[in-house]
Amino acid sequence: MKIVVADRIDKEGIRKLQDLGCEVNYKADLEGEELVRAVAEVGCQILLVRDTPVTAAVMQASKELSLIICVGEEYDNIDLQAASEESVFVANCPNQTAAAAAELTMGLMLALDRRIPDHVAWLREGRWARRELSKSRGLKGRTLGVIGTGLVSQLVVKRARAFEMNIIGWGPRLTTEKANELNMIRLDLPEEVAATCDILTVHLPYLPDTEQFIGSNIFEEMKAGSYFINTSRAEVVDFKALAKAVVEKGLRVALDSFPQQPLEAMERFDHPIVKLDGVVYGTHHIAELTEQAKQAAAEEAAAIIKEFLATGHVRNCVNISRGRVPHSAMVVRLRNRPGVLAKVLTVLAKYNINVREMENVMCDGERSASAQIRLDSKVDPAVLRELQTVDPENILGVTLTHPGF
Amino acid sequence: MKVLIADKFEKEGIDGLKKLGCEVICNPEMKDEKLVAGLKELAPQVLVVRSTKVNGAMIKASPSLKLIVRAGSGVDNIEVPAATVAGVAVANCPGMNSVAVAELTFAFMLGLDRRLVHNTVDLRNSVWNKKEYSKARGLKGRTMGIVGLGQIGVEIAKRAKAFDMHLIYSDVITNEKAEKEYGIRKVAQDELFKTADFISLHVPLNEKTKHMIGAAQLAMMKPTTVLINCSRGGVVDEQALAAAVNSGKLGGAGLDVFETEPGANDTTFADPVIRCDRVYGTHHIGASTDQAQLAVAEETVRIVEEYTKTGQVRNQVNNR
Ligand SMILES: NC(=O)c1ccc[n+]([C@@H]2O[C@H](COP(=O)([O-])OP(=O)(O)OC[C@H]3O[C@@H](n4cnc5c(N)ncnc54)[C@H](O)[C@@H]3O)[C@@H](O)[C@H]2O)c1
Repeated sequence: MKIVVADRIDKEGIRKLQDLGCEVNYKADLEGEELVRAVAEVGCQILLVRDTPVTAAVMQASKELSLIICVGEEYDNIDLQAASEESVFVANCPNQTAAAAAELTMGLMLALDRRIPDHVAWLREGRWARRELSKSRGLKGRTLGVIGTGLVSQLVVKRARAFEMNIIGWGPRLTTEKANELNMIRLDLPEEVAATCDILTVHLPYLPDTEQFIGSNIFEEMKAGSYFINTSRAEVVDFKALAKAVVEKGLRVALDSFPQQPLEAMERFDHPIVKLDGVVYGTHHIAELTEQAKQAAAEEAAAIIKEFLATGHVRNCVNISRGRVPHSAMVVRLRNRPGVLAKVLTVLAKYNINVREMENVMCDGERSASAQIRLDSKVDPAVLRELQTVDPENILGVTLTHPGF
Repeated sequence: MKVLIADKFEKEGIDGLKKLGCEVICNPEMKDEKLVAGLKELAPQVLVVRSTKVNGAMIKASPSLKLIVRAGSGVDNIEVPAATVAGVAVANCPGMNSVAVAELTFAFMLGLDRRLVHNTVDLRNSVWNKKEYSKARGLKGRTMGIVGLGQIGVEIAKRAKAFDMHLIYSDVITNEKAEKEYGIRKVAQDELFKTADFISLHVPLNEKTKHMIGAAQLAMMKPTTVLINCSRGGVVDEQALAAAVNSGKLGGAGLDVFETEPGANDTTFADPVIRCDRVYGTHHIGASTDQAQLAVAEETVRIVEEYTKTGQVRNQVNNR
């Protein structure tokens, strides 16, 4: 199996892939045309990336490409539509990077409270400004508000509890029972969380419904001088409304990502929010990027590939059609001989019935098997009759397990 | 009971003392000669100070004085022997700032691992450099080494555990309670230096701990190790530290305290260690949070309450 790795991926993970017998082609710095050429040259079956853009051209470059793995949580650098069109599976490595994101969130929270960047900058300028910079609130006893209650959020809560904070939250699927389990109090509305907390941290996925979800409705509720942290995607925050809140109510803000931010390489990037008068800190979209997280994600990628090689099944696949269900389904019992399955499929084709999904399971003794076939249309009695009679010696029986409508 | 507070003090503390039925006079301006006069005139039984100096002349000025409470931990600003001679008890509020120091320690650990200061400075200078900042190591699964598992050390252990770190410590005593509670393991000091990914110092400054971290100890540490000092400046040999960080033999350092710290009215700071790229420094603010001040105020109220009710002095530092 040939793999192209088109981003900096943990070495241990790469060794695991080599242990699986894969040929690993490490092309960490390639992008665009160069990546297309490299993929074509290697003719790889599997492509590993983190945030390098993967276009239709990359997918078409290798005829054999069947799996793209994003070694991290996010995968919007992949042209998913093109992948699905070419029947290339795309998988991600969710949850492996959550601890890293939680650590950054706590780091930013403490940095905001103690104003660490200002201390360092002033001392380096030779200034001693203890009086100006010694006003902090401390985290113990403060109320932390979380919006979004996925794994990152839960790991933040675990850490914040060790800091003896009180925790309140809201999430689209957060129930009171779940909140109790997580040692936090659920409020009915995100606005209520914003109004009640001293520190607000956002952990929402970027979806059509969450675009600019955190806007003036939230910022207007927040207490003057409270802290706001976003280590999820920039798209979930309305930056104009946020800037207004920094200016008008002295919100202290820490952000890990920005609208229209560049990719990995160093370049000029201007975002006015970090230059506002006040306490606004930022990082370079690094929430998921610690060695620990990269190692965990690379190990997960290796596990996905191992399973794929063994079973053809793709764990964490993000482009499997989930919108529709099969119209009907049948189980066909058949002799374990070449061409029997083909006979079944030929009958279905004759009646213009499309196979949606199928699985063939071998019985003990290897003499016969059972094919489960899920179909896109209704199966008429005539089809059944033909399947039952076309080759009774090899097609042992047909059962309609889901007759359709 | 009449209480004179000759310093700034939390409203919650003043209210708490009033609730006990005390007559409370709070005057932050009352220092030096004014304090001598104030003590003579007001004749309080209890004097509460934060950093205001209390000398023998002041203590003698008020024959009614029975108790001096230092709303903080060190009692350097109080002439304790003079109080002892005059039969005045001196009490302090130790350990009330442990949480604040532990929080600052984590601010340093996480800040240095992710290079949060560099991140912000670059963004403010219109530089995007994700590649550079994606080199952090992370805390989960790393080894946290605590030197001195006292009141602050324990607060650090508690938090480090929630970050899924491995915990080790070295100390002259054995803290079985913390070992049980946080799964922290005692090791020889040198082993801690050699194996920990994050090393945090929480020992008092004395003959034994002066320059406890020098060139030899720094040489034992891994080139990725991050060292934090929020204890006292003299515990670390700053010159050796600067050399180690600058030559890449140490991952970085966070310092809240320095060998020579500016005084309260100074506005400049010339310590070269702070200009090392991988050293983050703060202005000796380990104890400076509202939470810590409030905890001190509450402890002050507890000391006065116990004294009024039982005549016993909690946290007394002198023997009458
Ligand atoms: N940065 C700040 O603003 C700030 C604030 C508060 C305290 N501090 C300092 O932090 C330090 C720790 O404070 P604490 O409240 O935890 O004190 P503590 O007395 O509770 O703990 C000190 C620990 O160090 C251990 N120890 C003493 N000598 C040692 C040695 N030679 N080797 C190893 N261990 C030794 C003691 O056994 C004890 O467990 C003190 O130096 C204190 O002055 C700094």
